[in-house]
This record gives sequence, structure tokens and C-alpha cells, in this order.
Amino acid sequence: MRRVLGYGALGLLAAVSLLPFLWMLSTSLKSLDEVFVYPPRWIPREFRFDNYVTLWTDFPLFNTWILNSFKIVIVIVGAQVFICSLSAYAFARLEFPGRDLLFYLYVGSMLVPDVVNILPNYVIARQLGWIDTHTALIVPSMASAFGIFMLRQFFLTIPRELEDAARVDGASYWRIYRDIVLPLSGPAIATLTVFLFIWNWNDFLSPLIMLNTPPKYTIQLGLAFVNDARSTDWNRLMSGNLISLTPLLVVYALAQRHLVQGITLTGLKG
Amino acid sequence: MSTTGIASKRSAAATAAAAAPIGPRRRWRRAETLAGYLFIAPALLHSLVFIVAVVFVSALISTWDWDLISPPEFVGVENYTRLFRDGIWLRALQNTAIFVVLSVPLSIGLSLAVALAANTKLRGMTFFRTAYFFPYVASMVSVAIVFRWLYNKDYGLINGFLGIFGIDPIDWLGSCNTALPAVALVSVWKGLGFNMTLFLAGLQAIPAHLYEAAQLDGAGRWQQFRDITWPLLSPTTFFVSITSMLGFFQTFDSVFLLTGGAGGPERCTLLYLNYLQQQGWQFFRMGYAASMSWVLFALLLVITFVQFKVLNKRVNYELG
Repeated sequence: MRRVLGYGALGLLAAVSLLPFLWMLSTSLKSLDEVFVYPPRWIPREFRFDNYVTLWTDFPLFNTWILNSFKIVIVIVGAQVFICSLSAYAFARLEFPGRDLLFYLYVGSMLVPDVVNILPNYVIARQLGWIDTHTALIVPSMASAFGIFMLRQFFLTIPRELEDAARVDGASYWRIYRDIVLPLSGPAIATLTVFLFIWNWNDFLSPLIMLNTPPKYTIQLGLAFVNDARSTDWNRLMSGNLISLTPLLVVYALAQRHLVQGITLTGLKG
Repeated sequence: MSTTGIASKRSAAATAAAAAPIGPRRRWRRAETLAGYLFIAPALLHSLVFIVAVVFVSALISTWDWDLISPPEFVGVENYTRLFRDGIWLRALQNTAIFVVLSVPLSIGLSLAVALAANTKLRGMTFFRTAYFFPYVASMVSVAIVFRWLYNKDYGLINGFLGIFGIDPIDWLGSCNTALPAVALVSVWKGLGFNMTLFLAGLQAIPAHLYEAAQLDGAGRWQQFRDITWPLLSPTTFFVSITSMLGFFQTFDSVFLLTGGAGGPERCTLLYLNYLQQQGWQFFRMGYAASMSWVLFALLLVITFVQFKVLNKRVNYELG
């Protein structure tokens, strides 16, 4: 009896979490006539898979938006993993004057809300002629206090013995970083990558501010643009929506464990 | 990252102590110092511009009357004093306060309930946890588009469902009474999985023997929750309440995408960040927008400080 009640509650909650996405799927497979049938129908009478085809021809920039997003996200992830892991290694392992002070300044900087940075970032990008370019989105995100902090916390958990042995053998710091620390940090780098992917793929405010012309848009900005321009084309809005969610679904399926660990590691446990 | 800031600070102190200098390694000292600076150089260079300089630029701009085109004019603190005479700003602040007061308790209550449900050893739990977390992964744009459709007055699923019980269609996003709660509901729903994950971690840190002992003493489920779970979970609850408050105060996307950048209907859903974006990027009042961001920062600091003072006394750190 208790088990039945438990599953009932869990199932109801799962329904609340997933029904909007199932409704998205259902709407994306309907003809426009059927979209406006009232009361709403869950399973379309007639499956219109061609919504997924006409979407690309009707919105010729859809392809470009997805490629733009991939490009921006991949460059940001690559740069952050490299730049942040370099600093994180130095903060975790090397001794140099000012190290702890600098590290605390980084940690403290995470308390400053993003809203303070948005406006000056825009002004700086404007002075540098970056408005309406992807550079304006990429460069400010190439390093972050969060990335440095997260990786440093992980590096501290790696046993020192291997590095000390390599030191005695005369290995340089660079080689230790590249051949010992990085290969051992797979899980931490995966966690950082997943978070950066989700945040930057989903980012809306920065592209909204920095980009002006549709060919430069990211997929989120593009979808919002279509949402405004064709607000009653619900079936194809939903199919575009599902396509934009696919990379997130893949990342989520592959790395759910890392996400949960990342939240608990940096959120509570340290 | 506002969601991790406070906990990070606490744990950083702990780990820095653990990483205290070891053994005599003087010979390598100079090479090590040089290597250290070289390793942090790229990040340092980046943060000098995008963490340090931006703060000064922002503070400077907040003293200007500047539309990006004509030369800036120094106006001192006038942008700040003008804020408090700006009825729309006060309106946005008031909306935001209501939004936060609606969202934070709802988010804490629901995510704790979900975490409690998901903290049992039933089969298929991985599926359920995956389902609960998914809305956090989805983009606000996708979520907003589907909720705009769900909330639709004439064809929406929600009114369709309520219609079964004979309830007349409600214009969820189009009427002042329901628009702000409707937006808050979407934001809460989307963030539920994140807070649930934090609560789950907190629940799993509570030793099982406490519950076993309580059961032996004949304590019921409610008593166990009240006397064991709730007090021992208080560090997590405290953390979630602070990060949620910070997050909901800085809501932008959901309003912009659900009810529009002007915070319709009739500014009933205009939140702080939406007004800031409007001033900065529609009217190009850069100085005014910059001063708004600083006032928000100060406000958040004060509220966080008060939360610390008021709530920290009730937090039980015995396990932490």
C-alpha cells in the first residue's frame, strides 16, 4: 500500500515535470488546423512529420542559428577548460606570493551578481567594435571564477605522490599539469563542460544585447525571434523547440551523473 | 555564479587550510613562483578586464548622463536620486518583491517535497530523478514558448483541463491578477530540479540510525520529519533560501519571453531586470541603467545579510 502511494506521488510529480515537453512533442506533430482543436487532443489524428521539414525551408536561418550556437559554446568550453585548469593547478599546487589573496578575490568575485557586469561588458564590446559579432559573446566568457574554483577543489583531491615523484625525476610543472593532473581530472572537466554547455547554449540575455542581425543569432535568440514573428505557428514553433532541445538532451543523457555531482560538490560540500 | 557563491566561500576557507604549505622545497622556490604566475597569467589577464575593469567602468558610467552617442555628461549621484522618484522603477521593485515572496517559499516547499519523495529506495528512481531535473536543463526560451501555449486563453491545455470542471477560461498571461503568479510558477517549475538535487544531497547526509532509533521509540512519520529531518536539513534549507532569493531577484528571461520586454499587461509583470534592460537597450540611458544595477547589488547584499542574521541562528550545523 505504501509502495503504491509512493509510486503515485512520484508519477504525479514526473508528469508535472514532463507533460509540458510531451505537449511540445504532440503539438509539433499536428497540422495547424488540429492545433486549434478545442478541447485539446493529446494524440494527433494525423501525424504531420513534415513540420520538421518545412521548418528548415520556412526559416532558412534555423541551420545558421544552430551552427552559431555550437560554435560559440564549443569555443567557450575549450577556452574555459584550458584557462581555468591552468590557474586551478597553480592555485591548488604551486606556491607563489599572493596566491591565497588572489584566490579569495576570485571566490569573492562570485558574489557580484551578473547584472553588474552586463552593461559595462556591452560598453566595452562596443568600444572594441564587437557588437553584432560572436566575439562579444565568447571573449567575456573565456574564463570564470566558477571554473577556477571548481577545478581547484577537484585538483586538491588528487593524491600528491605522483606529482612529487615526477618532480624528483625532473619533470617541469607544465609536464606535470599536462601528463598527470589533466588526465586524472576527467570527471571534473566533464562536470565543468556540461555546466558551461547548458548555460551558454541556453543563454538569452547576452545574445539579446550583443547581437542585432538575424544571421548572427544564436538558436535561443532565433527561436525567440520566430516566437515573436510567427506567434500562431504553434506546431512549427514546437518542432523548432524540440530540435533546439536535442543537444541538451544528449548532453544530459551522457552526463547526468556529473551534473548532480557538480551541484552537490560546488553547491554544498565544497 | 550567484548560485554557488556563498557555499564556495565557506568551503574555500576549509580547503585553503587543508592545503597549507608542505615540506621544505626551497630549491625550487623561484622556479615555482615563476611557474605559478605564468599558469595564472591568462586567467588573470582576462579577469583584470572582465571582473575588475568592468566594475569600475560600471561605477563610472552610473555617474554619467550618456546615450552612447553624444559625449557623456557627469551628473554625480543624480541617476541614483532620480531612481527613487521614478514611479515605474518603484513599480518594478514592488513587482520583483512580490515575485520573490511568491517564488522562494513555493520553490523551497515543492523541491523539498520532491526530494523527500525521491529519497526512497523504490525501483526506477533514476528515471524519476531524471524527469524532475530535466526542466532545469531545458532553455527558458523553449519552456516559455510551450507555456505561452499551455496558458493560452482559448486553446490552452490548462484552460482545457479546468473546463472539465466547468471553470470559465482564464486569460492567464493577459490579466493583471494572474500574470505575475503565472510567470512565477514557470520559474519555480523550471528551477525545481536544481533545488531538489541540493535537498537530496542534504537528506542523504542524515545518518540512517537516527531514524531507526526514532522508530524504536515509536515516533511516527511526521514526528520523524519534524524532529530529525527538518532540523538536520537546516543548513541545506538555509543555503537554498539564499541562492533562490538571489536567483529570483534577478529574473529576466521568463518575463521577457512570456509577457514581453515591457512586462505586460500594463507593467504588471515588469521585474527589476526587465526595467533595467528597457532603460539601457531601448532608451539607451546607460548611466541610469548602470545606477540601477548598483542599487540592486546593494539591495541583494543587505537582504542576504539580513537572511544570514535571522536564519543562521536557527541553523543546526552539528552534522556539517
